[in-house]
Amino acid sequence: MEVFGISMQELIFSIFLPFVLFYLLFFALLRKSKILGENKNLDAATALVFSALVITSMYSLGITRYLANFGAAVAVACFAALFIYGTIKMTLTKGWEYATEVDRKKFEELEKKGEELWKEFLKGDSSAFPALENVVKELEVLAKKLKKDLNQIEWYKKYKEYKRRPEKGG
Amino acid sequence: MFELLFQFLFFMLSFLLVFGMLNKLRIFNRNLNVVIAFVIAFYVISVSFIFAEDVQKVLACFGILVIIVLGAVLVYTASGLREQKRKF
Repeated sequence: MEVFGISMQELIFSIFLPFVLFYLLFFALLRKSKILGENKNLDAATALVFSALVITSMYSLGITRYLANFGAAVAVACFAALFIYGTIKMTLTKGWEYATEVDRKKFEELEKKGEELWKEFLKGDSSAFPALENVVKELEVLAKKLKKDLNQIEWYKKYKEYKRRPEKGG
Repeated sequence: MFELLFQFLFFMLSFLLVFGMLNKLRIFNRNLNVVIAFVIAFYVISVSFIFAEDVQKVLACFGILVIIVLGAVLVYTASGLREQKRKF
C-alpha cells in the first residue's frame, strides 16, 4: 500500500515516528527554555513546524531511508555504553569485596604459616617476627574479604596481646 | 510539491519565531508584532529560494545531531552520573 507515492512502512517508520519524536523533543525544549515566553500554543506550533521542516529536509535529501537503521544503531550503542560503564564501575567499586576460592585457600595457608612463625618466635627465634608481621597484614586483609573473625584464632590473639604490651608499657 | 511544503514551513517557522520573540520583548503592541513578523517571514522566504538546499542540509544534520544527543543524554541519565553530580 502506498500513500503519496511512499510505502506505508517507510511512511510510518521513517517519517511519522521520527516526526513525532522531533516534535516532542522540540516542544519540551521550548517549554523548558521559555525562549518564546509562556505561551504554550506558540511553543506547540513552533515545535510542529520545526519538526516538519527537519523531516521534509531529511526526506528530500534521502536520509529518512536510513533513519530507522540509524535509530537502532544509536540504541545499540547506548546499551553497549551503559553495559561497559556498569561493568567497569562495578569492578572498581565492589569487585574487591568478592572473595574467591583462591582467597579461601590462601587464608588457610597463611593461618598455618602464621602459627608456625609464632611458635618459632616463642622458641626464641626473633628473626621470625618481621615475617610474622607480614603474614598478619595479609591475613587481616583476607579476613575482611572473607568476613572472618581473626580473634577466634589462638596464636593471633596472643600475637595481638604481645603487640599491645610494649605500647602500654611506654 | 515538497519544495512548496518546505517554503511554507520555512515561512511559518520564521513567522512564529519572530512573533514569539516580539511578544516576549513587548516593544510594540500585538497587532504590530503580527505585521512585523509577517514582513520578516516574507523577507526570509525570499532569501530561502537562494539557500534552500544549504538550509535543508543544515536541518537534516541538525536532526541527526538531535538523535545522537538524545542517546548521550539517555546514557548519562541511566548510568547514574547525573544523580552523582547532583549530590555534590
